[in-house]
Amino acid sequence: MTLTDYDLKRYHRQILIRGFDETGQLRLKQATVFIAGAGGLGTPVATYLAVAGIGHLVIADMDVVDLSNLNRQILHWDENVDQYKVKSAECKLSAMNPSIRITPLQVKIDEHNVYALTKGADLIIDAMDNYPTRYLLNKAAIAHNIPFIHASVWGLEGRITTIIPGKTPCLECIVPEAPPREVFPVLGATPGVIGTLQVTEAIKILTGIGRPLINRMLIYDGEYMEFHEIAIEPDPKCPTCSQKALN
Amino acid sequence: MSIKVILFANYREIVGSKEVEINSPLSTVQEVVNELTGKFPALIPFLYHEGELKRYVNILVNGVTIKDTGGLITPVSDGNEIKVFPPVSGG
Ligand SMILES: [Zn+2]
Repeated sequence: MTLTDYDLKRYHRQILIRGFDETGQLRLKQATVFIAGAGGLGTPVATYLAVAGIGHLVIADMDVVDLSNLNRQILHWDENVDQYKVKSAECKLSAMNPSIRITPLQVKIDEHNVYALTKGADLIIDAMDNYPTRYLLNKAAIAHNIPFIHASVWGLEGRITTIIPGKTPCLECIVPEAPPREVFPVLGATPGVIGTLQVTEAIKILTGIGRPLINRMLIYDGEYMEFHEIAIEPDPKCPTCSQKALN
Repeated sequence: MSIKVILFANYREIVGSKEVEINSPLSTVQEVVNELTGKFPALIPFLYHEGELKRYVNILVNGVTIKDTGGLITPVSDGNEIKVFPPVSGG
């Protein structure tokens, strides 16, 4: 695979980034990214990954668009209400960047399919809205040894960390039990902020530039416009990633 | 003695503000949490499960997680800033 004249022109401004170069762009073109969820986080994530020239985006979501999604799920419009989210997203993304491949998967991620769905991906992006599914993705990331970029949002707040199997705590080390499910308040710009941070992490991991958000969790407090950090550590007794669990 | 407690997400909703200033003479994180839940009993089910602090609650004393310093028995002193984070689940 090589970069075409079209690629060199389309991605010129990011190829200029220090350390990025044409090699970085080629890495993006060769990459497959699995995006779990086409909602509040998934839509800005997919948008910025698409325009950055990720060669293959796999987007999984089981739901149809609801009118109440439209304050934040920017790839879905009024005309898409009741359509499958992955179809609605694919339609906009392929118009935004016709040179990339998009695989929409209208599927519920469960313990049976999660390994097959994520196999072969270079990266998994957590754009889910619940912990049970996040834990499945976490397990698949460990099984396949794939970096996993976790994020969650609530109101004007967000959390993000980059999980690299064997190198950082896993999601179960950080959140050992799921908080209760709820209809959460959220401003559309919040997953916009956190989703674009996830993309920044994704592109750093794929190209090797910068330093990833590892072993620390970033907390975004939009209400007071503050960022905080929590140092996070592997749990030696983690049922999912500890040596004991893996052996 | 003054300790500042900074709350996030639904803890902040329950208390109705980002910060709670505690001025009683307290020596551990447990005592600070007790003082807080005394003032705002609605926090209890969000912090505890069957009398134990929920495992997903993150508490930092001056930026250091209490997981590294003995948990709820971590000592506190005048001027400390304690942050209490729940995980959030939206996406
Ligand atoms: Zn773990």
